[in-house]
Amino acid sequence: MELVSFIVNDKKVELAVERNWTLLKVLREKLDLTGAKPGCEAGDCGACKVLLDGKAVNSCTTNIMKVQDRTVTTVEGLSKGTELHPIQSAFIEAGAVQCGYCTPGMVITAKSLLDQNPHPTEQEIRDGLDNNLCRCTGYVKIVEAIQLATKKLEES
Amino acid sequence: MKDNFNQIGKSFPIQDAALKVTGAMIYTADIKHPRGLHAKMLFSPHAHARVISVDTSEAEALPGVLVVTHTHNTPQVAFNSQKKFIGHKALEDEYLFPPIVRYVGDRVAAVAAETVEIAEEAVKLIKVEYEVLPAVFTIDEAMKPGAPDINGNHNLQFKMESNTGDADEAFKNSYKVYEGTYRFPAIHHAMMENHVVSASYEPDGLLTVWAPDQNSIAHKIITSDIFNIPLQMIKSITPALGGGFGAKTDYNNIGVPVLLSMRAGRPVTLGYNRSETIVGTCTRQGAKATVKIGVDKEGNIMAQAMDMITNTGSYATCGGPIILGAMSAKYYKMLKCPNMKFKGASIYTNTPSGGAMRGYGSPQLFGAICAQYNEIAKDLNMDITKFYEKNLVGPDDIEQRSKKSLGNARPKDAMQKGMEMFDWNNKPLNEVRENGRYLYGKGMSVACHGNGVFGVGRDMTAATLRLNEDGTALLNVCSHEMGSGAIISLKQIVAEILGLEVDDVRSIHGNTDVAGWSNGESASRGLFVEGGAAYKVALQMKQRLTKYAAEYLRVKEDTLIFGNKEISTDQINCPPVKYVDLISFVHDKHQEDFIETCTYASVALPGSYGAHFAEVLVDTKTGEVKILDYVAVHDVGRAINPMILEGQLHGGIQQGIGYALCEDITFDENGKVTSDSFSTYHILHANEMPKIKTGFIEEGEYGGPYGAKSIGEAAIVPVASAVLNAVSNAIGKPVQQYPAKPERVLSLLKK
Repeated sequence: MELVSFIVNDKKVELAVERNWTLLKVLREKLDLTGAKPGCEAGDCGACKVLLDGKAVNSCTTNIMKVQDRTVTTVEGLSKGTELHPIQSAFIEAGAVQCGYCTPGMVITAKSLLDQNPHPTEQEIRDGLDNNLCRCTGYVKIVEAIQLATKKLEES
Repeated sequence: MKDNFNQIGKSFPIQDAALKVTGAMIYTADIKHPRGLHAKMLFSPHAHARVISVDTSEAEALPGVLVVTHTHNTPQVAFNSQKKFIGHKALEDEYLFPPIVRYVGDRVAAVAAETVEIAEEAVKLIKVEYEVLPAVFTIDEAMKPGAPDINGNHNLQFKMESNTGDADEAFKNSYKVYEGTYRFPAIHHAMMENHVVSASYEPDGLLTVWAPDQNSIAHKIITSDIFNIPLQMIKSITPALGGGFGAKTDYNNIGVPVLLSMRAGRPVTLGYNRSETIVGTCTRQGAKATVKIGVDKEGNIMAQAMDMITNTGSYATCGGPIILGAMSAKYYKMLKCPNMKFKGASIYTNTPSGGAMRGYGSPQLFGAICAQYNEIAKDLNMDITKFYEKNLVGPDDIEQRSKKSLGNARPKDAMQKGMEMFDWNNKPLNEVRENGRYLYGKGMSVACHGNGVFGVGRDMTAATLRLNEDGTALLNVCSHEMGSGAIISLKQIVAEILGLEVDDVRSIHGNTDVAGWSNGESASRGLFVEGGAAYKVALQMKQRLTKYAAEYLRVKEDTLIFGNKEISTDQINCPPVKYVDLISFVHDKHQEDFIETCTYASVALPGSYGAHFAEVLVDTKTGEVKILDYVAVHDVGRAINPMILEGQLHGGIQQGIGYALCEDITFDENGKVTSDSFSTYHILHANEMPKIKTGFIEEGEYGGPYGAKSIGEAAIVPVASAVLNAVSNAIGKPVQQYPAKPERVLSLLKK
């Protein structure tokens, strides 16, 4: 076991890990942050996405040793208590949530995308979601949710 | 009649959306069980083999391993993953660990250990001696004389025939007869949440199972059969479903963690990864469909015959009577033609078993039929929509086979509306673009699916509704929320009837301990039947409220008006009574609670029709197909929740386009799946989806709550044939083999 320390959702954590563990495994099994979901464990589906130093990454293909001294934000870290982040509210209002299994990853990707590009075109949103799979929505209302989120973020 | 609803017809997000966007929704794999063990499976490397011996000594010696199970140390009770109820005649040919494995991925052994890693390590230490048997992978090979025999009946699992009128005679009298054969691969449901089950068998004999399960009641029955556990001692919890699309109606591997937990005396979780889910669980049935259609000079269908052969894979599951019966039922719901026949056979192969998947046979059935209609219309030099117009059923038409009403069947209305939205009449059938680099085509199709299983077997749902002291409500239906929005629609129905807001109603679901019987989440019955149960139980509650409100207000019952959690009357000088006060009054005076229970049995099985339109651009250099525009209009009776309806339709379209263009489970020469990840099994990404326009026909349907009928499965049925008809029209050749991957399109172009 090795010690690794990093910041997750504004809180510093230090824990013993095996070198070959993924960030996803540590989040889910050691930190009880189960918002990030295993869907493919190969970096294909994006259900496990978290922000690593502000950028969306697949936690299932991120080795835990690479996270040392870095900052992780999971979907649980976006809302403040029960107050939802504007992106989260937008997903609800737009009807972008069905089974919900891809939703945390979608919300994280949306956050990363809008942080870098606050006014994306529809094509930029679709391209930005290229590494996030959904089987329920046909992505239509997810794209609409991100468009709604841009408005909400402007207003907030 | 003017509709004046407060909750019906309004868009509400799915009721657990706030949990899902925050990561707070707990799915099965998110639950940590105290003293919980983890299981891994040893899958068969052979497509067909007898398991001679299993040496578990090294695996069991590994520290942290508690139990190893395999065919020689487990109950040999045969079951069928799609058994729905006690007495259901479903061929039972599956075992937790079969003595003869039937496909690469079949269950050979399982390990329960302290960690996943130890379980994985132990699986590698199991030594198995196999007697490899000859195997067969396609239905064509499996039906050849002398083919390796999987079931001792030359691989025939089931066959059936049905007919109406005299098709053979009508073919003779037809102006022209067309015939075509279409082939469909097995495909993966690709729900984002993989299969996962936890089980805990406790010392008092209580078994608790947690699973993303579309039919926990039926699966309790199968568990009870295998392990001889009485039903009061089995509790099934469905924490949430990360999508199902039929995959999770299958019992599949639920019994394995149950067995391991019974042996270990501790909770056990068996979670599959994506590869294991693709390889080791059910698929949509591959199929080969030959359709023969006779027409007169005007394009009226004189006779239609279908010869459908489905690939049931390694086990019967819902092959045989179930899927072929489902197909033949839809077959007769579309046409006015009085002379039709349907012949079906279900064939075993050494591939993963065919299970239930959204549309349940209809995508294969109408995939073939609607492609053939497209070819006929072109040959007759007739617009395909005119061909449909002549042949489709309409409101209150009689189904030719049963001679019963088809209900308010509106395929033609859906088609008309879709044509307008798509601007069908102003677009060319096909054209060459950019000097021949691209071929443009438009295509459409009309198809249908059902609403439950009325007339086929029992189709009922029990519901309980309670009013709290403040007038808010708790609704309890044995529903399994898959993300399809059935529950929010049920809440809307209850709220509408009782004059509540949707948020005043909370649903208790996904727990067999508190729910009554229901058929489960299949056959598009969520709204039509479960919604019917919500409607009925809410009306019962309204009657009870009416009786006591009339007493309280001292007015006649027929003067009462419900709304805003109070009951008023049109009598002057009579202030309304709030629910909270009325309930308190009744609790006090009559010492009676507000709790109602009912069983709702479905009264009809109408069709849900959809008309889909697509325009495509085929790249003659790469063979790639780009969809430029897409319109889908569905006959839904009434839109209870338009946003949910749209979402269902959008998702069905994503799946259907994949079926048409890129999805298939592929195998190597030894029957091993070669498309076992999302990089090798491609589902459509956001930037590959076309713009989608949706529309709904709301003319009401007998038997549905507020006249509503299903969308869930109907959504996917016309998609692939609409897309592939557009491709066929673009390239001038029919696409007879799904999916139209670029290499297949290129080879068609070369022909």
